[in-house]
Amino acid sequence: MSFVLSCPVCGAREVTDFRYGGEIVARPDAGSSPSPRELNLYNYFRRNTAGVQREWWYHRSGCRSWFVAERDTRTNEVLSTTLPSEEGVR
Amino acid sequence: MSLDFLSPDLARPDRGFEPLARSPIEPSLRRAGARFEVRDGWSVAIDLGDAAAEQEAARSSVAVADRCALGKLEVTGPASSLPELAPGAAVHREGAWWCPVTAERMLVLCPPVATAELRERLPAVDLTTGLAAVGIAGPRARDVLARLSALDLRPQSTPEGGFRPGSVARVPAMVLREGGDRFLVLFGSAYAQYVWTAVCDAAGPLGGRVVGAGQDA
Amino acid sequence: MSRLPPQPGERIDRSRAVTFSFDGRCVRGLEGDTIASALFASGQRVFSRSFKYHRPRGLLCCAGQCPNCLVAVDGAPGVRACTEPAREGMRVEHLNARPSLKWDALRVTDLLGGRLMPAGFYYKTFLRPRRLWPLYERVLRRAAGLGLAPASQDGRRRRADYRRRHADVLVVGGGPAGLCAALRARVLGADVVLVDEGAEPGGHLLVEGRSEQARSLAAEAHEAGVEILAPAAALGFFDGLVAVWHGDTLHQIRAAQHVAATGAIEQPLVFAGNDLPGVMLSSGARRLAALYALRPGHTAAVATATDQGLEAAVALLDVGVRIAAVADLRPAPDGRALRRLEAEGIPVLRGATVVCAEGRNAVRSATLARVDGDGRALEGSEIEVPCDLLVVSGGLSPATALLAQAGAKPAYEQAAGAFMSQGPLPAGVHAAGAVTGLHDDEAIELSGRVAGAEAAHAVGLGDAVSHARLERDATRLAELRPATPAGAVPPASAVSGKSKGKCFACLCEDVTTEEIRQSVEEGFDSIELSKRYTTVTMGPCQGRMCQLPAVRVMARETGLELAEVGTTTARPPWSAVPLGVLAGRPLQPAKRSSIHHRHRELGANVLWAGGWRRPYDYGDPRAEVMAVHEAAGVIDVSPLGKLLVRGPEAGAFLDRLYPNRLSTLGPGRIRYGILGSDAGRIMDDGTVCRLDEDAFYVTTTSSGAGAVDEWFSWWLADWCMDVQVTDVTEALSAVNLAGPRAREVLDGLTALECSNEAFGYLDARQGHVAGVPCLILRIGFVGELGYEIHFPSAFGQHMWDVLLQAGADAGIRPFGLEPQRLLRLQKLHVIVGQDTDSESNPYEAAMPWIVKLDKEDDFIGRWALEQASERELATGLVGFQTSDGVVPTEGAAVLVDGAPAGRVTSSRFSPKLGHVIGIAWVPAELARDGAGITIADNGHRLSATVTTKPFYDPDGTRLRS
Repeated sequence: MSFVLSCPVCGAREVTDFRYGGEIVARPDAGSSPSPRELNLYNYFRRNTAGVQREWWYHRSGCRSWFVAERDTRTNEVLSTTLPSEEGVR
Repeated sequence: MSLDFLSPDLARPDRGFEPLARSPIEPSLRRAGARFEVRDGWSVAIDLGDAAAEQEAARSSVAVADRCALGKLEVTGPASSLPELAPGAAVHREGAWWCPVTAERMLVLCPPVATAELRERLPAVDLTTGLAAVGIAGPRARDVLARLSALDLRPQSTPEGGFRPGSVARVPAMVLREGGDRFLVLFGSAYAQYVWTAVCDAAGPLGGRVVGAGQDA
Repeated sequence: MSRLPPQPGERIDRSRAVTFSFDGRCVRGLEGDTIASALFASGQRVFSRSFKYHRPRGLLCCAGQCPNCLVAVDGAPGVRACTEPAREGMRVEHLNARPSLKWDALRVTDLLGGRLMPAGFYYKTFLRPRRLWPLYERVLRRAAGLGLAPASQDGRRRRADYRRRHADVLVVGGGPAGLCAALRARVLGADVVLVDEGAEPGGHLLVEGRSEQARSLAAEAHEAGVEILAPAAALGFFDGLVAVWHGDTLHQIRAAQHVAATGAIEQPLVFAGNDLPGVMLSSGARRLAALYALRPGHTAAVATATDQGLEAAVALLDVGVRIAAVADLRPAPDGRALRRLEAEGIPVLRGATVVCAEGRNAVRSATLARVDGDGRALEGSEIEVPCDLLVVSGGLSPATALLAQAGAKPAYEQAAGAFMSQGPLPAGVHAAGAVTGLHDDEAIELSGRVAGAEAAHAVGLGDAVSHARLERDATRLAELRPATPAGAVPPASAVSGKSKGKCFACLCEDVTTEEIRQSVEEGFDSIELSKRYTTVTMGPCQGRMCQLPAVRVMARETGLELAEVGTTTARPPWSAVPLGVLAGRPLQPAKRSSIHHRHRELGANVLWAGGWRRPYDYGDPRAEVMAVHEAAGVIDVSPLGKLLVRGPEAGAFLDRLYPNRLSTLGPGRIRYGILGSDAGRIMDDGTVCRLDEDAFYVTTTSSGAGAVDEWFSWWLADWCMDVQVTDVTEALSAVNLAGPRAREVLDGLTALECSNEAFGYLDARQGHVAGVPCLILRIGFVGELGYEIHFPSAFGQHMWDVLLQAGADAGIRPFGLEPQRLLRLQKLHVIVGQDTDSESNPYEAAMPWIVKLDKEDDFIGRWALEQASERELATGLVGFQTSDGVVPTEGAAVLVDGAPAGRVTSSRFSPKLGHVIGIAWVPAELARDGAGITIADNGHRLSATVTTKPFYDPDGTRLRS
């Protein structure tokens, strides 16, 4: 695996520059009280999509920004990378 | 409380103690036979015993120099509060390099004596001792970096003032093209001995030499 | 043996000799020779012994495509003699033969081999008796293989560098197509790299005596600014990164556009005895003559499927080789070469091929015969031709491996009789030349120019003129594309009643057609299965010589069409490469504190700890412990993670991250904190110190520093709070000055008031120590009065020297990690990651007090901790002590009713306390003072008593004094 990922701040870098942060999982709303099952779904279950998924990446060796990538897990084609917006990601 | 405990320039003679700031590369330089002088509170390697050869290496091959004493300030804040610079493009202004890392974070590089004054003016954290700095200059400088880093440092991709955060020798780093074939590499100071070894290992077979501050124009 | 008269375009410089040794014998070659050409000139005909059967092998391809000339050079095995330039003084040795290349005792395996080594023999033989396997293994390892790697590091002299190269266009292959592509792209302004695996670019031009044309094309490209790497093997295509091995450098080339001009590989023919020295590909024989002025033999028989063999026959005729007979597989060949041969009176058999070669260590005769479509000789058509050279040419197989790795789909093309890339190429990938099935000179060059222009245009170069020219060139190229195949398709193998001996499909791994037949019979009836079973195509040639023959045999044995059999997956490396080249320079990133050199000078035992090199001890861990208890000790704790968290919302931010309350911390005060996940699991721990209203100083474990920084910034990225996190771990060095006399040591170095009243436990102060600006935290991980002094790392040496000097009278000693681990164990201070694991929550880890579920706002882990607080605990983390002096291994099981129910996480003998202490996970009902537990350790049973309070100074009076 040696594909190129485009950091929204720094631009194109080898994937080894980055830390993979996993697929984006919706966090229960602050102030809510999720059931054990809901909490387990959030904490432990992943969709493991074979296709395009939204996921976290961190430019560990570069600008140290977290960003969101849309990547096809079958081909490693990265469709987009964007910084998290004010509305939040989770 | 303040953040004084981060600023090496605030050290002062006290109770008979005369604190001297030392580069994390000093032990390696000492082993290589460097001659040291105190400059601006730092112990600085002036040359490594053969000033003429060092000058020649800088001219015809590549010169590697310890520049850890450079002042380094991290300025953070909303993008609107920082000088307007596009990430990746640093500018040299008022004797300092202004290097935008992200829209909200900038690294300012300045001579040691200028640090205190800049720190007063800016919402800055003093990272002078957090980052080691190595100068790599000369016609083979890019060849040395190509042996250590995947960054695209071709002139068409990284012109003068180009500032590239990315991995060098497998550790997080930032590369600044100060001009022509002069590069400055910044990285975590705890990696200094390792990166210095890696840079010298790469430069040696290309005819490179370690040079003292006396050669580092 | 003398050379031929000067050949046009020869590579050798007859005025300069090169001398080297081969198996101790002195060999004289000429500048420009390869090892193989110099050896051939000296009369050498056997170059290696084969992998399994130890059969003699000679030069076949002379182009680095086959395994036949692998030798060791200066102790490094696996060097291809036919491409490696001869250098003065080099030491060349044969591989895989004992006692000598000429007399190889293991040739016996060739004679017995049929029974001893059937297909997949390693699954069938040498299995019983089982106890003899170590012996079998030793023997087999010596018998098989392609040389020995040097046993010690000293024997390895290779220096291998990586070199990163970015480019607009990478052209792989330096034949006329590649050179034309590179030149065209360069002329249009692209930054171009061209790699070629030959000693010099030129491809088939070099073989055909057109070296001058090749050199002028290469010179033109070079002068235009194309970077040419040769001899350089493109090893593989890795998501757009092409690894290229070039001498002592592994180039990692990242280009925007790729042009595959990898050419086509001349295929051998499959018949009995097809591996004998003297059997040569037509291009190999021509290469020896054209580039090295060597006569490949005296009397030759030629068997071909295309014009290539006929042209070779003419070329050999011109250098004085007697051509005894030619067999052309085509029923009706035609052309200039044929007419010339017939004019010379050379018999040319139509519809014929070679069915058998004979000779013991070299070809002595070849049997040519007319054959039917399955390769069976027609009754009575055989003629035996005495010869010392058998030139074979089985047609061309496009070298599609790199294209396939890039995502192209090679499939069998009936008309061409070979696997070719089908359908559109992947984005950014272009192909030119023989790899696309072209063989006409004009078409090959034109295809290069088209690919070069397309690549340049794709990176935004070019103008209206270049686009118009590309359109014209592309149209012309389409007209030139051949409608008819270049030759006949050879049979899987050619046989006659006269055929005897082994018939090899794969030379590298010594796989015969018979073994592939067997593998099909045993059920391995797909090419991928047969490949794994027989190892066909898995040798150093990577399928160049055997892929197509193996597929043909497979098709014959299974009755499938070749297209149905398909081909094996193309995997890197496409060329054999020394592992040392892949490894690069042997340097490993290590973090070192600014005091590290002082630790070395003090004789510290240094170990790895979370990416850092740290002192384990300074030679006497027990004395170091006692110094901390009785006088003073100092430990370098610079690797502690250190984060500045600043901003108006800093307190609120930390309240959201930690399960306890930090916003209520007063300036200048310190609180312990653990970090948890949303699953309620403990991730890290450390202290939080409030510097002022808007600034906190957070410390983390040494190994967790990076992860905590990333964790903080991850939540910050999502929450968008007005907070800045700065990692100052490496900016600050830190030492922990601890022990009853720590205060008096510190007092002498600073103007700060150090009394217990002015500077109490969990207070933080800023001030100068020995002239250095410091942040001093009064905390006590090791359980004695202690000050953690944080200061700019440039003063590490200064601070360390000053402390040891100032504390000398007080009996100060430096102490390492091991004494620190014992000291903290005495205090039951857990080490996250050692005493806790990824499943531990604060309730189980006996820290319920740290969770503040009454906090108003949301915090990480709140829900999971709420749910955990409502459940009954299953396990608990406790201290234990034993009385019999045996230290249980960390990880030993805690037994309940004879069954494992917990484990020991830390254990040491404490010289201060005089007994063994430890930390263990035990069932909740045993997590109470005085409970007895049993520990099972390496067959021993130990009795231990549980304690929930620190072993040492349980009330913390020493800490707070």
